Amino acid sequence: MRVGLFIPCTMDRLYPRAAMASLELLEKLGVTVEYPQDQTCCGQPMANSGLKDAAAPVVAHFAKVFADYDYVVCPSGSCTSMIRNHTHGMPGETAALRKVRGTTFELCEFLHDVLKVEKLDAACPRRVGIHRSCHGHRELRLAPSSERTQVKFRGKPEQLLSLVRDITITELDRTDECCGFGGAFCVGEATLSVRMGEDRVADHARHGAEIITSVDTSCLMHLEGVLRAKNSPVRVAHIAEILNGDLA
Amino acid sequence: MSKPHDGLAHAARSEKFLGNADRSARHDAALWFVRTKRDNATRLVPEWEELRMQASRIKAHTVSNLDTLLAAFDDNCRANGVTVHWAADAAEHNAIIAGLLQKHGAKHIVKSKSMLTEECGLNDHLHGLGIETVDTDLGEYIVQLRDEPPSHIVLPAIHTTREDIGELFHRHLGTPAGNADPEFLTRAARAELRKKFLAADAGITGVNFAIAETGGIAVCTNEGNADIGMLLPKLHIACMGIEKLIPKLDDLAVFTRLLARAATGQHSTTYTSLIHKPRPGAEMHIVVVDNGRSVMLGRPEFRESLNCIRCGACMNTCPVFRRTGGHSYGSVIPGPIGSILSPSLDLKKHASLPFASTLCGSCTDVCPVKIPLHEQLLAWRKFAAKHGGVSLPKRLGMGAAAFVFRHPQLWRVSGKIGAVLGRFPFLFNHRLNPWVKGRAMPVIPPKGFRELYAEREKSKKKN
Amino acid sequence: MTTSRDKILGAIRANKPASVAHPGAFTPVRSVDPRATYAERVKLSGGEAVCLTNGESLADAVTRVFADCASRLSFVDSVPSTAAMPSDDAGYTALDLAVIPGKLAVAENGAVWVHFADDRARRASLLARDVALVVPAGALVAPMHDAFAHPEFRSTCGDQGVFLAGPSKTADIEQCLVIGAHGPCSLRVFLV
Repeated sequence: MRVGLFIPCTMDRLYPRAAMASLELLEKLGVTVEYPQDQTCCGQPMANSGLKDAAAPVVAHFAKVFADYDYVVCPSGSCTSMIRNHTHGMPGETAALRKVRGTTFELCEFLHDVLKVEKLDAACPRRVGIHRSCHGHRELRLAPSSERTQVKFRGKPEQLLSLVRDITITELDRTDECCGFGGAFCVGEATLSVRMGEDRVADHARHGAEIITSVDTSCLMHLEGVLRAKNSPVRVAHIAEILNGDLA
Repeated sequence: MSKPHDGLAHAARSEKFLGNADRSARHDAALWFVRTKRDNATRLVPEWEELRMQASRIKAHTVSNLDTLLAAFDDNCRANGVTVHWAADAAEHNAIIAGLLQKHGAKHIVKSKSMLTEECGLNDHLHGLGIETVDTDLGEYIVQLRDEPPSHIVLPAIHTTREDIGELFHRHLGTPAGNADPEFLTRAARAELRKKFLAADAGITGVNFAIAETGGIAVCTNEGNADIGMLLPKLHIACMGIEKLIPKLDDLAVFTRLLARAATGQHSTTYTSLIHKPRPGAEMHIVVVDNGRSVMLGRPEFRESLNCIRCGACMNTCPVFRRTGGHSYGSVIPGPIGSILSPSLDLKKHASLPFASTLCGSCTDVCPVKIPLHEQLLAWRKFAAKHGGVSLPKRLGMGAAAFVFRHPQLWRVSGKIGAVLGRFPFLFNHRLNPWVKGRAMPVIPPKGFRELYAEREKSKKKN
Repeated sequence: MTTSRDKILGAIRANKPASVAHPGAFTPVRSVDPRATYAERVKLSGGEAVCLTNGESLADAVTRVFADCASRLSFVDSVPSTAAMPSDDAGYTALDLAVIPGKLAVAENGAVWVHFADDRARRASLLARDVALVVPAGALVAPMHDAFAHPEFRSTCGDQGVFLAGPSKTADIEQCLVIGAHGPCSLRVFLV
């Protein structure tokens, strides 16, 4: 099984340790991982601004870089959802794009659905709050959404976190409210974006979380910005870092 | 007379609402409470997801046969003694109603909740003709006295406080100054509006569901104001958009099971009235309105928005709506569904609305008729981009970014530049950077993953 | 000359998508204990389901429960009125209690299907201060779909009727629930 690792642009530049944790975690689980150096971006920033024509060549480049892998693993719910759900009807669709739509998995999905991980050698003796990044949550259905009260199943992030020794998962008043990042929204509606981030952070604080984790570093970057502006001791960590034992 | 909506974009208006942090937090908490009640009610309906799917399929059948179903509705209404009028647009809707009222010499009208009449500006039109219209839904009555539009389609006065209303009723109804007790104020409104009901010449209502098979209409309220309003006067006019039609009487069971639970978490509205015939000695008219709906029907990406049963669940669940209020949208119907319907009516005025969202998808998951709301918001962004709705600086910025992303060496170089710039915080920590109002800038590490990986591979080769 | 009806139907015909079939009947999940569910849901709606105590007649039960209702107008044969039929609308607003017959009770939402053969009964049900609904106990159904299929509904749904669930209410002032908005201030259901 040839696995290509796709690291989101923000993670590459701002959270390289989370990217490294993703790589190490997959290797520890016996996967041969390649990181094709020509990768850049999934096209989401352009697509979410409605600029489909600007996004299309970026998406085509992604498809070309990753076409030959059996699986493309991406430690980001939003990038994964972009490739799987939002590249239909783009000009210049290639066979490569059609292929990667079927082979691109978010990290937790890959560990849960493909590798069927049942054991992890990791500890995290901390109180950890799970932030449900929206794309992974409601588009990839990584965990049940609070809105669909009749759809019950055990979420993939928590199943994996339950394999980590000594970890305590904290609760929330609003289990899956958006953090307010939203791409260009974070500057286009800056005050609102910050207010939403502050509300998330306060919710985690009320329940004593020491670390806020999620599957998307874009959300974490925004929440971390709010936390540091408040001089909070609460840290953010991508789920890969916890599963890889980096926060023991 | 209602004040017109101003021309500001959503972001500017939401800034204002957020400026009063207390009020924004209270508004947010109140609507989250309604969302929670909705969740509790749906938890008691094991087949909730199947009901949503059924409703969505019934609507798909309806819109694809809308002409024949509307014609059947018209025929069945006529057979029941109800007169159906057709209005191509808002102006025609207003003219038809004014004509009916004038023919009957009606000067005092009571009206129950109808977002369609808001959309058409009916009250103002009638006022100009010397016809007094009183909105009898308590929330609508409150905003009418405040001379402003409703801020939510189901909870029109959710943006007000009891103190606001106490002061308002003191001024208009003579209630004691400083009395802000909700029960006392409600009783005061009850007494005042009963006078209006008894003196009314005509009653105007909306239509929650119109049934093609039998020519009937269903009107749902908690207060009973629609029922009193259509009972006492000798003229009843019901207004409906063409998309309110459902094919069969049995289908009403599906929609009534969904509506109140989605809207307020009640298992049923207090009154679900089913009216087929005029009352003895009275007249009943139905005004069927297009006003852009047939245009929406012709837009494949947005067609499902016609499923909307006006429950407001999308507004209650939206983290943006909760914190910034309905007036921030500057449209008759606010929130997620409003951000989809309004650009179809006036793209220039409402181009900012689809961007007033993080596309979190919560609205899509609560919608009782399975409108893929957040997907349609994204689809509007694409439409807007094609028709000049995305600003030039943004286009240029995104175009530049796309160029970089197509050229891996450029991306690598830009990364290195970013790492260097990151060492000079003064470049970013200033007023012109919207990120830093309440957030610290992300720290840019000296080496990105690309470099770390390359180093790791090199050391692996050495060993 | 094209009428607006022609214009609108023409626009619809031009813009509508390919025809999709109606999905057919819906299969609901049925409540295990409709009687208990009904009582609970009536309560949730702000009303009350009343049981007759042993040997009590309906008329006695109504008198007992509504002891403070001096002027009562009844449209149920076995319960006598204490007030005369009002001669105008204002007269109805002076009534303390309206006793109205219902055809069906729906367990899932605590609603009663009331058919208004009589316009005066409709007035009384909306303008009197309190309302008592009387429904045959055998006419209790579980989901709404069963109500719509029931002969008592199908034979009476053709002119004016209402699914009535609880007293009138509003929460338009700061989401504070106030019972008794424009319609009655209380509602009790007697399953007999």
